[in-house]
Amino acid sequence: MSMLKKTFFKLIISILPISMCAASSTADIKNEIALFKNKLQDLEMRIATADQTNTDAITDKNIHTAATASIKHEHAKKIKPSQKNNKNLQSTLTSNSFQVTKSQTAGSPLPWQGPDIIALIAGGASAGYSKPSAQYGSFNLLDFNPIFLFSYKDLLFLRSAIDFSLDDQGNTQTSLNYTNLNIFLNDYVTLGVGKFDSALGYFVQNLSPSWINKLPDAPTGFNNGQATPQSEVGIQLHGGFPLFHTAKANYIIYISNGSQALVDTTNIVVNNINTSGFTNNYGNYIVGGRFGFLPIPKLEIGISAAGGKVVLLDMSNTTSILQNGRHYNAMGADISYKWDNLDLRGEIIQQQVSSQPGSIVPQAERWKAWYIQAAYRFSSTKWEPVIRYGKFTSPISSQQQGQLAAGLDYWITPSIAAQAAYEINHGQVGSGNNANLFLIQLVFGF
Amino acid sequence: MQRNNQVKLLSMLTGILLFSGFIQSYAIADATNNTGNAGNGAKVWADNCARCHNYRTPTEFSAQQSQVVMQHMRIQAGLTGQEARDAYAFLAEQTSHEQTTTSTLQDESKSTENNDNKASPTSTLPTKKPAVSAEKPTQQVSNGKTIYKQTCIACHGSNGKGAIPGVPDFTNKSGPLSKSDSILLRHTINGFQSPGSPMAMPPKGGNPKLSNADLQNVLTYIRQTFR
Repeated sequence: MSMLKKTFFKLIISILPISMCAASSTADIKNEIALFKNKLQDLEMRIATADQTNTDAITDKNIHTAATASIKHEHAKKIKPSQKNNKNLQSTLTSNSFQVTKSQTAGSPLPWQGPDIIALIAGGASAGYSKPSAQYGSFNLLDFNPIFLFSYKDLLFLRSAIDFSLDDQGNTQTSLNYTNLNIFLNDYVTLGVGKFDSALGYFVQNLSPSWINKLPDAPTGFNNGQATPQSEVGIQLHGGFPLFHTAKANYIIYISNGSQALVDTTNIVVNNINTSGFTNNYGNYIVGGRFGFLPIPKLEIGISAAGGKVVLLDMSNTTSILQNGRHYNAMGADISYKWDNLDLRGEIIQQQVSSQPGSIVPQAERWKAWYIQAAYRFSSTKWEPVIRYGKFTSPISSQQQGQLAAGLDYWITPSIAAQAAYEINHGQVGSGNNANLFLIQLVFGF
Repeated sequence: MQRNNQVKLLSMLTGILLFSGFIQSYAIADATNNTGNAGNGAKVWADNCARCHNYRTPTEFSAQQSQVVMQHMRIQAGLTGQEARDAYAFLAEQTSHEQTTTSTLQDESKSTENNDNKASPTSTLPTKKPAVSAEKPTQQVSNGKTIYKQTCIACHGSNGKGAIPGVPDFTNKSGPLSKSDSILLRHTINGFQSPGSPMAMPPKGGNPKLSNADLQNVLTYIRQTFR
């Protein structure tokens, strides 16, 4: 505020000599009006800036009002309103003073600044080439994933992520990854409604964007239809809070429509759990969540669990309900640790349908996946080698896979990288899961 | 069957509301501050961003965009509201520092081109002469250590080698400590952009409450510990 006071003081000092000569001639008065208007406009801009940055709006207003009154008073003393131009000058002064005062009262609450609604498009994109062993390669890695973010003050936040990709025929595939509206109830609780990345586990909700994932591919078992839930449509409470002074915790709990189990009626087995997120799930719900604990900032340990019921559908005709209300549960645990330039991660997750005698598929079935990963960024360079080992087990033997992936990232900027990797895959002989894979791509997070 | 589902759904909602009530009471017990602190924000930024991805340059986004980014991260990373505001204060300060530096450089460039300004280039940030601490050397080091652990450690690390890629290494013989005290204090007071670093150090490490004597104490501690 002292700067503002000084500005007013300088303004008064600069106006004073002009005012002394105000009555000398009409031309001088016109110049004086123009100069004074410019000064006032400058003042308005300075006050508007002060509005945005000053936390004490009341003090600000008082000083401003006093200063404006002082200017008017000083000017009134020096200029006798005996001539027409002088009357115009007074009119201008009054008008400008009103505008400045009005602008002073406008503005949004601190600390968030700017307009009430602010929008931003963030997200990521990737493009590249892959080649399975003993097969031809192609430029088939292509993904554009914009995230539309809208905030209304510190109250409501809308997030919507759309995924664009191409199928083998070159047709554009579009999917709504998530759209959720979030209300900040207080510093520790946010209520969200809509479609979300699954809260279970860590990879899907936090590491899956191409510019964050240090390898061009997801760990085995972490794609849709495998062991890891992908999306939920429902309602969430999430947030974080400090624990024991130095530690921290974060949490998500939710109720959602849940998943659908697709049954292979030929082999009488549940082929996979579809976790895309459904708006109609035949009256079934799942409740679950994740709790993350950070004893120190560089270490996070998370546990996840969910339980509820799912519908069993015929995989060859997904409108055909084979059973409704089959028990389902999912569990997971994850850990991440950063030590200087070394990044260590591990995660295990499983989902299963329980046994139910008399059902068309009476046996319990379980899908389970895990991985461990280490990456090291060489100091003062842009190179980061990565290694990951993971395994996916499934009731369907052709789906199972063990995978060792080694990659090398070159970080052009913190969110632009060239990534290359080679995956050694072990699956059922003759299945696609048994082929090794070379991948190379360029990623960009924006 | 339908009635059974409704009862269960009601039970789930009740459970969530009870949990929410617990968290709400937690929130009330810990009275919140409605403003952000750039010093704390630097620590939030250093502690949380690399949990998932590389440290992105704080000046990649404008101050207004950073506001949206931090609200997004509040949800995505499970930050508290205060942490989000602190981190935003830090990012906004970084953006402001970048703009000031750019503006000053442009002004200097214009001055050189026009050759009509004989004054030496000046920073728009305060350039007060560093104060000399009146405390005893052991007291200086002790105070400096306390401040270092509160304000500096998030970026410079406990070993002085830098906790974030690009932060200069105090233990390097040709590093920052090869400069004189007066230069280092000026950088600390006014803020400084190290070549190759993704971020500029904010003035006074982001903690405007620190006096010049405090900063002198920190420098004494740094020289004694990491040289």
